[in-house]
Amino acid sequence: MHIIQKVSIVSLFLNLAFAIPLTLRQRGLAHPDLQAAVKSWGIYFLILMGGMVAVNILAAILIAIFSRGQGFDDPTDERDRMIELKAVRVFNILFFLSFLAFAALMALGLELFAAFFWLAAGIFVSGLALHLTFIICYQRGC
Amino acid sequence: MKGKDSITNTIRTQRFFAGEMTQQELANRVGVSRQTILAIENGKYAPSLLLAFQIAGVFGKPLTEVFHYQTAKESKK
Repeated sequence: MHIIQKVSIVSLFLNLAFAIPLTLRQRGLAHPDLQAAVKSWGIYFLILMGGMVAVNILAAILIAIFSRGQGFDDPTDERDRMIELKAVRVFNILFFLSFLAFAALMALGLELFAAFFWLAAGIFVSGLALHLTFIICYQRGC
Repeated sequence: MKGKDSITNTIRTQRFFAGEMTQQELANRVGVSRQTILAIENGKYAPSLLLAFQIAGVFGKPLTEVFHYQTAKESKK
């Protein structure tokens, strides 16, 4: 199994373990006014995105420790670059679509919570799709 | 459903005739990872023209002896 595949699998599960409780906690918070709600969602997004990056770094560190650094010195070749390109493309498409849906929900005048929750789900799903693309492409080719 | 054209190869055979060259050795000589050689051998990845020429060059063979273009019709046979 390729080292990036291993890191992606660990990242996927760590992201699930990190983002789901964080989102559920955010869902349960009650905000008296709009200003407080927007501030709360802003903090939530900062934690979510920063946390997702941190979780990816943590996954790479864990794999490096357990595999004793094996595989990390492999050269990055054209196949790695092609898979990375596909994964980033999948991420971009999903992120763009979720942002579009978020904007549409706001335009429709839906509740702030629903729109932000959709955006959070979009960011999260895009991140998961990125890792899944890595896993599938390294396993089956793409 | 319309099938896909593919590129097959004889890398495994060429490695055998090159004194059972390992995948790692071949990977080192062309500057890619062992996993990439494995993916090419198994037909999961079609290499770039440059890499294909480099691999054929390691075995001292022309490109067409190591890589074969196969149309969807031919692979059905």
